[in-house]
Amino acid sequence: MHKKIMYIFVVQIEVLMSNSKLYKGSLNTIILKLLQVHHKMYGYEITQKVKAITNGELNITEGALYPALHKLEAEGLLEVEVTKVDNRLRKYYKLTSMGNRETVNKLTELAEYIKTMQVLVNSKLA
Amino acid sequence: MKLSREQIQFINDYLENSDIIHIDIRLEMVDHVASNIEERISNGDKRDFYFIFKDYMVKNKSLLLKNNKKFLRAAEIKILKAIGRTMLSFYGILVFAISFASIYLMSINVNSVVFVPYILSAPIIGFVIFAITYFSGMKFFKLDRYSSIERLGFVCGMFFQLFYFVSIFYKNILEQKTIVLALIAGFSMVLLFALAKVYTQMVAYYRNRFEFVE
Repeated sequence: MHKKIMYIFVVQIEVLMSNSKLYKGSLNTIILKLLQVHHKMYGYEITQKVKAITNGELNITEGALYPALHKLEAEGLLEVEVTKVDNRLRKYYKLTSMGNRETVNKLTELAEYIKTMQVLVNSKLA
Repeated sequence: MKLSREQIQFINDYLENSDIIHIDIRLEMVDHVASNIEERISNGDKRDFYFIFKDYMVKNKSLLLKNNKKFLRAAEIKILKAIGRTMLSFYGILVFAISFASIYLMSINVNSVVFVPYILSAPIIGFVIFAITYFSGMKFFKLDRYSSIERLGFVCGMFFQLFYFVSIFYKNILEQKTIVLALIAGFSMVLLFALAKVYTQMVAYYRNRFEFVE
């Protein structure tokens, strides 16, 4: 069920992906949504999850992902948990209560945006 | 297949030698690189670990270093917010009020020429002593370096240098206008207070998340 929701969500995002500015603007929403569904995740897991859901169409690079994660943490939307896994330390991210509220807001904003864009794209502007 | 302790250490050392000096940033990168290599091996890459690692680094090293810089910028934003919050907190305002009142009252009763140089150079001298102690301690005890703690020092160092230049260029004004002197002294004291408080919070944050992980 969760996978299906994420798939629909990321496929909708993908429509916007051809423009890199729109992609950058949607990255935080993708991260927040994934963490809302999966409770806690680490960086590499997020990149792989998005890749798997979109069948390799969408590839989030570490250069984009980690700064976004750190910014969300600095804003108090994410909290960090460090655990020792397979001979190394792993940093897990999870939503704070503020992050949960922000996820709902961001998803609502995005849904509205997609709806408006669909109306614009499908309407006969002339 | 999972990487051995030695292979993880190799990745860690390589990144450390590539100027990713802060452990809190590096540990995440080590995990990312290791996870990627493990996945390649699981997907059938039969080559030796070092060849897979070399391939990964040729392709991604510049991206990792860029990521390091972005992390430091995020740390600075986090620190500035924490300093701002502390300065505007009840205790921050109290420290400011007490410092301001003390300097103002003192300058009425004592000739301000006597103590102006001490008041204005105290923060930068205090900060330099703190920095020397910190880096000597880190080197002597071989402690891990954490990004936010060091960026906190950098941000505050900039502020204290600003006070120092103000004291040099506007010395005459400060000696005559006691209210300006009291305001600057109050501000530098509340900044010192914020530095100490945020430093304590950062140390506690890292202790909880990194040092006691088993």
